[in-house]
Order: sequence, then C-alpha cells, then structure tokens
Amino acid sequence: MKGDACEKRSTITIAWVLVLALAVTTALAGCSGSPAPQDAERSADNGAAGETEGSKGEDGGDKGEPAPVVDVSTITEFQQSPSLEGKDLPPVKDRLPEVPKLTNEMPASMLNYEIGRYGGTLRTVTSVIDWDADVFVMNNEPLLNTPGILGEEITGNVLEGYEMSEDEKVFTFKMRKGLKWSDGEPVTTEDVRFTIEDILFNKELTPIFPAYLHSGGKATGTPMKFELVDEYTFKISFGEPYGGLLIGLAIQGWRGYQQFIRPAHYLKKFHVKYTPLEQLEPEIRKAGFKKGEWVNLFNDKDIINTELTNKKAIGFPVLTPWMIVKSTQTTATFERNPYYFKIDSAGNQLPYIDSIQSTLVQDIEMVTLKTISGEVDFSRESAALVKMPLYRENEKNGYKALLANMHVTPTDIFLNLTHKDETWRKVTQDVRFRQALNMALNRDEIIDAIYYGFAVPSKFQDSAFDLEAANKLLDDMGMTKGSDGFRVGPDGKKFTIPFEVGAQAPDIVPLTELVSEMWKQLGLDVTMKVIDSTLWGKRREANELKATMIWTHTPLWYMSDWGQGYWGTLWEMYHSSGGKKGEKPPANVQELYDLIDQAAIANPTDAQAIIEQVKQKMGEELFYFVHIGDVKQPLIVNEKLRNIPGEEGFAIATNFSGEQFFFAD
Amino acid sequence: MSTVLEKTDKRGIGISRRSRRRRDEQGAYEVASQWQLMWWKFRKHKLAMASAVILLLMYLTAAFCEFLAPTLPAQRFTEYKNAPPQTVRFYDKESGFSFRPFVYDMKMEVDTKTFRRTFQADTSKKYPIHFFVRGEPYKLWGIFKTDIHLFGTKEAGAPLFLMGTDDLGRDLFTRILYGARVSLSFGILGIILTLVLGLLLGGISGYLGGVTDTVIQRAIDLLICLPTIPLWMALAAALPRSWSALDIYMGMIVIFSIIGWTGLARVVRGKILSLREEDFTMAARLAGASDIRIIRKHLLPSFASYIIVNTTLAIPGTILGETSLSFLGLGLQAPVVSWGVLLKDAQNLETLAHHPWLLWPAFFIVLTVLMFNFLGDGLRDAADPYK
Repeated sequence: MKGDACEKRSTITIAWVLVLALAVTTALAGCSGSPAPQDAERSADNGAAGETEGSKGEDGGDKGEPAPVVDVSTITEFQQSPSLEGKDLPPVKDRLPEVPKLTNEMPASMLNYEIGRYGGTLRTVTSVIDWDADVFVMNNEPLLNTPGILGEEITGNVLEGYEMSEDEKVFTFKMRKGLKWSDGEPVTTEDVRFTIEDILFNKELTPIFPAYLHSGGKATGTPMKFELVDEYTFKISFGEPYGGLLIGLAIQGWRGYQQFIRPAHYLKKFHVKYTPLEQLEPEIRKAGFKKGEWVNLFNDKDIINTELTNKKAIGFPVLTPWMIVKSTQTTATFERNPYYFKIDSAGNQLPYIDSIQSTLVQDIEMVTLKTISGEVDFSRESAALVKMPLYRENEKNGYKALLANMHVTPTDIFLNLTHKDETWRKVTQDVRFRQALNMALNRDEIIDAIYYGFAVPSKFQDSAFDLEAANKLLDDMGMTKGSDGFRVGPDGKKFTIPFEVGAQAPDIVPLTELVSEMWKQLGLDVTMKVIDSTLWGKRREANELKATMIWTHTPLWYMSDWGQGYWGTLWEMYHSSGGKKGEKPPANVQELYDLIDQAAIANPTDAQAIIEQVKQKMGEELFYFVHIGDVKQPLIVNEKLRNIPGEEGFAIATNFSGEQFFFAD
Repeated sequence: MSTVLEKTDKRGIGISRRSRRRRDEQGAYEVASQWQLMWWKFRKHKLAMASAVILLLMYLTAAFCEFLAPTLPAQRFTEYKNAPPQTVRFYDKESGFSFRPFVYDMKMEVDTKTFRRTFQADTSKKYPIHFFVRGEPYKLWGIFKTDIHLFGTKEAGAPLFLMGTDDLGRDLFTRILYGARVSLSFGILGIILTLVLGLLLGGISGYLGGVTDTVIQRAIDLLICLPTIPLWMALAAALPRSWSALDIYMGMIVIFSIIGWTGLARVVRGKILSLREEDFTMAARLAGASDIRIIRKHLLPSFASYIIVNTTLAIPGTILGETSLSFLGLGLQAPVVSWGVLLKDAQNLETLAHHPWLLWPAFFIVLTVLMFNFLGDGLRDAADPYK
C-alpha cells in the first residue's frame, strides 16, 4: 500500500492522461473546435432591449408584474420588439391575426406569468449535427395546444378554435383570419386544402396515409374526409367517433401545424400539379436528383417540423416563433419571426427573446463543460441526472439547475411473451413468473443507485420486495433448481433470461446489470449483452429479443404507449395490421388492447378514466415492469431567465413554452 | 554450468572473490552458449530485471485473481456507492497500535443543496483485515470451488475498498484484478497469433522469393499504409454485435493480429534473405535437408533473439489497442471486465471532478506498458551478446 500523498499524485497524473486521451478521441473524430463565446454579443442585445417602448413590466426592475387574466378581444394596443423597428415592416397590428393567440403554454397553477421585456439571445448547445432538440421543442407549434402538455384542456393554437360534433365524428376547425407566414403571405384554407389534397392524399408524395388520420385511429379504418367550408373554416370527418383526434393534434408525437397547414404559395412551385415537370427539371438537377424525380425535389423543399433546425430550412416560410437564418459548421442562428401570432396580455407580440444561438459541440461531455462554465442559457435534452451535483456546484457561473418532471418513464423492463421459443412462452406467459420477478426487484436500490433518489416506486404495480414469496412462486411453478444451482424450465433444461439492450439512454446498461443481479438471486440464469441500437431495433422487429429494457411514455396518458411492441411483439403486429400479420392475442391481452383503443378515440375526460383501467390491468397482469416512475430531469436555465415554471411540471413542457421566456435585467 | 550461475549470483562480496569470479567468467564466456550469454547480459540490465519481476507478478495476479480479490467483480455494496479508497490503518486512537491492519467504516453524507454524496471515515466502527478469510464462493479457473480469499474482513458486507467503488458499489480493486486477466491475456494471445502469421508469411516470403515474395511484400506495404486506429475501429465496428463476449474477445485478437504481423514479417524476411545465402545453409541444402528443416533448424534459431525482442515490444501495443477500443465503446463491453471497459465508465466530467479513483485502471495500463518497454529494452541490449 502506498501513502496517501503518493496515491493522490498518481491519481492526478492519471487524470491528465485521461484528459489527454479524451482530447485525442475528440481530435480523431474530426472535431472542428468550439466557437468563441458569445457573452459580449448577448449583453449588448440585453442593453438594447431596455429601450422597449410601451411594454409593461420593465420598470419593475428584476421582477415583472404578474399578468392579469384578460379576454384577448379587449386588447387593442400591440407592441413589438425594438429589434424590428426600421426594418420596413408593416405595423405590428397588421402583422398579427385579427384574433391573436393569447399565450397559455403553461396552466396558471404552474406559472405566475410575468409580462416580459424584449431582447437577448438564448444560447443552447447540442451534440447532433443539424438538430437541436431543445430548439425544436421550443419552436414547435401544434395546431391545437394543451397547457403544460397535461392533456387536461385543449385550446386553439395555430388554429383559432375547434368544434366537435355530438357524435364525435365531425370536427370543424376555424383558422385565424389575418394569420401570416413568416414571409408576410396570408395563411388560408387554401394552404390546408393544398396540404391535405395535394400532399396527404397524393399517393406519390404520401404512399402511406398517416394511421392516426384513419377512423378509429388505426391503419385498418377508413381515411378521414376533408371538406372546405370557406376561406377560414374547414371540416374533418370520420366514420366512427374519434374524440381522441384533438389530443392527437395538440401533443401526440410532437406533431406540428404542418399536419394540415403548409405554405401552398411556396410549395406549389415544386408540385407538378401546379408547375409543369419541364419547368421543374432544372431545379431537380440542381438539387442532385435524377430526371423526373419531382417527388424527391418536393420532399427536399417541403420542410416538416422536425427539420426546422436544419440548414435546409433557411428561407422556408414558417409560423414558428423563431426561424433559422444562418447555419455554420458550429452554430445555427435563429431570428424572431416578425409575423408570429402569439401575444401576452399586455399586447406584446411574442417571443420576447430576439434570437437563439445553437452551438454544435463534439459530445455530451463537451455539452456539460459548456453548461457548467455558464455558456448555456437553456438545456434540457442533454442534461443528465447523474451530473446534477456537478451542475449545482458550478451554479455560481450564472445558471440554475432545476429538477423538473420527466415525461417518460426512466426505463422499463420487458420480457417478450411472444418469442418463438415454446418453453420461454410457457414460462413467461404464466403470471406467477412475472409476479415473482416483480417481487425480486428492489426498487429502493434501483432508485438510489441509478436515479440518485429522484424517483418513486411504481404507483400501479406492486412494489413490495419479497424474495421469499418470489422463490415460493417459482417453486410452485415447478421450476426446481438443477444440480448447478439454476432453476430449470418445463423442458428440464436451465431457464435463461437473456437481456439484450441498446445503450439509448445512460441508465439502461447499469440498470440491466443491476436487474440481472437481482433476478440471479432467485436462482435464475440471467445474462446480458449490449448491442448496437440499430441492431437492437432490427432484432425487436424480427421478434428476436427475449428480454430487454427501454422507456415508455406512460406518464403522458394520451400517448397510449404501454410498450405493446416490446412485451408482445407478435400480438401488437396482429393488432396494428388488423389481423393480417402476427398472432391473435389471448383474451386477457385483447381486453387490454380494447381499453387502449377506446382511450385513443375517446374525448379527453373519458380517455383518462379508461387509462386508469389500463393501469389497473397492467398492475394485475404485469405484462411488463413499470417498476418506478416520477423520475426527475435536470433543467439548466440562465439565472436571469424568467417565466420559468416551478419544478412540479414536465421539463419538456417548460422547454415547449420558450416563446414566453425573457431575460430580466 | 550450474556452478557458474551460482557464483555469478553472489556478486560484490569481496575483492578476492570478485577477481576469482572474473577469471571464472572469462573461462565461462568462451564455452557459454548464446542463450547463456544473453541471460548474463540481460541480468545486468537492472531496470529490465525489475520489469520482468513486476510483469511476472502481474500475470500471476491475473491468473489467481479470484483468490487474490477480496470479493467478486459483480458483488454490490449498496451502502457504499462511489465510495473513495479506504486507508489501511495500524493505529487507532482508542486501542493504539495493532499488528492486524484494519479499515474504518464509512458514512455517507448527502449535500442538501447539490445532492452530492460524500463519504467520511466513521472511526467508531473498525473492521480488522484477516488473511485467508471465507467470503463469497467462487470457482478458481472455473474448476475448483472454494470461498477462501487471500484477505478480507470477516463480516459479510463490510467495506474493504482499497481503490474505492464504482457507481453501483462494486469494489474497484477486485474489478481491476479481474480486468487484468482479460487485458493482460489479450496481449499474450494476440501476440501468439501475430507471431504465427509473421513467422509464416515472412518466412515464406524470404525463403521462396519470386512472385510469392512480391505478393506478400506488396500486401504488407498496403497494410502498413493504413493508419491503425481508424482501421481497428472500422474492423471492430464490423464485428457482429450479436456475438457473445468471448467471441468478441477472440474476434478482436484476430483483428489486432491481422494488422500487427507486418512488422515482424518484414524482419523475418530480411533475416532469411541474408541467411539463406550463408554457407551453412548451402551446406545443409547439399546434405539433402528439406526446406522446412532448413528454416526450422538453421534459419529460425539464428534470429530468434530478434523475434523475442520484437514480440516483447509488440505486446503493450496490443494491450493498449484493446484498451483504446473498449474505451471508445467498440471493443469489449459490460458485463465483461477489462481495463478499457473500466476506463470507459470513467470517461466523464463527474469522474474527473468527484470520483477520480475510477481512473486507477489507467495507472495499471501505464505500468504494464512501461514495464514491457523496459523489458524489451533489456532484451534488445542482450539480444546480440557478441557485441
């Protein structure tokens, strides 16, 4: 044994060696250096914002005054960001729709809204080229919205409002009169007609019509019907009641307004119905496609919501609060959209923040390095729970590390009950086996070891840790221990649970290691293998995975994500293909499917009641193990950033409300 | 011969004995074989001798890691996650000095603001360290079932972490010992395959000459041109991920060998080219010896020393290669324990800031590579004893 001093010194040397190794790795992967900090630039922007005329709240200094609840029609005075002055734009009143959207991103119970002040640049950071999840979520604008993404209330967003018929089959949507694209062109039902008739119902552009726009929300139903009423009204109808459509347009799958509204005036230039193919040929050639491939050209020019952080989106007309204007190797710059349709209760056009600067760095560790040195104003996607102490210890650098709720379960445990191995099926389809495994999961240890105490045991599955009872259940099943100490299956051979996981999230591999050890305590043979996530996806689709781990969206009731594709791959295939593929599920699984289907098409109130039944059934049947829940997610915000909800909401909901953020003095 | 060896062992005792020994050595030199001369020369290289001893110890440790480790690599101490290394003590304030070493218990404290967890020694509770204690059962080399560990505490679940623990509360010292088995054996197995390929292809190339020679040499040129790390990465990424851990381990050995044999093959070819023109080769050929016999009996022994040096210097390269690939996540993966896999867990900012002891595997990698380099240095000096 060496002395302490010596030990310390060698540790430091080793630290240097590792730093060097990290540097070499970075260099190898072709990193092109990090850009200069933008501090100076931002503080200059902040200074300019102080001159905002007419906007309330700035005289309050650091704290703006709470916004009174008002009716949007009583607001007649509108203000704009000083950065838009002198830009030769029409007055702000004319740029806003007749009925602007009074922002309501968060429910009043979660956020004490302050009237903000204009100005500033929000700095974000990402480690993926042409993609910044934080900016995407902040910038995304759905057709309808649900405050706090809770699904409790659905209001208009890009659309002014909706009406659902008594029988929940016909939906009448009202558009905002005077709403304009970011290039100043009006948004009308012509954009909707173009999107639905010429894109969605065009077999070349959309070979597979979206499943959720069929009756019953399944691919087997009949497709929706579209009817144009007037310049600002349109109708969508289904053969069966489909109250779930509204939540489907508001939040499910982060669908944007692009589902029904795309800039027809811009895209018609690339559509053969409006522009002859001969005229398109030069453009097709320029874009690098083969002669006649107008479909590829159109898809290249048509920017969907997930592509709005891509440099391709520069110049594309949008309805989002910010639009990308510049993209270099290391940064993407987003500027405010002068025609954005949301206002606050004092008549200020949103967003408050003038621009967003998204910096691309090599990897997650570089993101952390920038974060803890205070060079990031907002970070959610890349913030990891394991780094919380590091974030908190460096808060003096000008940011706050909040702990908000996570919108997905941390990681659930799956056994594929439909794997082709007959012995495996016999064992795993026996509910006693699943109960035994459930009882062998020590929630306290999992929460403490992997989630640092920031999670709670499952609320709808039994969380008692009882090895004795678990062993007894396995004994009752006749799974006796063989000479090697391992339990045997009904075929008399050693029964093995082979975990195969991809490392899609940082907690998956350590959790698999931990759970394997816990199940080994029952005398079961548990093995684990980490495989590439692409291969993992392929093996899952081919029904080759026996046991695995992945997260699900169970905390968001409207996602109808109960991991069906993981614990019953063939049953799910049967269900989604309408009985053409896969295997017919047994009665108890069919019951669960029926409930989930009902919830998907029911209106929100009914749906939530049905989801409670789903949870209860999931608790009894344990088709998969939602062993813990309510995990926390760190949220890094600049300490000057305001209109940040408290810690009780979803972190991603805060992210979603970006147009409401502003920098305090 | 043995007398000579005995005497040379007792060096530096008295002037008269030393001069007598010199006379003996003089005589011995004249009759000693090449290997003997090499051994004498090598022994004078103190650094290389020390390295050889240390390496031998390390390999022995790796071979008996189950017995030497106080616990098992997957054994979790749930109360002690990310615990720092403990100091082994002999002196306690209350009971004074004791010959039996002991460690203090550790208590976890959580900072209420930053949520950081730190450990403080709890002097009220101490765990004496015993030798040959009964602990977790294991199978030595997968054959002999026993539960005796070289050292440990007698209480189950008591902390004894010479190098701290990782985020699941597993003893890092134990994991490093088990990792040594994988990482060190990787070097040896890798070099054996390299040696076979290098000798075979280099030998054929040099001895046959002509078209065969040209083809092999151009293939070598091509392989040497390619930068090794990207090539390793590409090949390692091409290994089917559906393979088991053992398959991947073997696959990686093959990858390192099919790239690493070129240098050796060049040396072998050069040597054979010059040696096959020597008179003794001609004599053997005239006596009717077969090609294989000539290569095996006459040519190979003539440059065996070079091969040994070359090999020794190539082993650390292979070990480093395995470590770097595993570190990058392309090589071996959990639950396999190798030094590279252990380091992969440590490549983040929180480790550097809060749990620096997780970098201990790096120390062992550096030590191993350094020792092999010193050993190679000594062998190179000794390889040509007639100089």
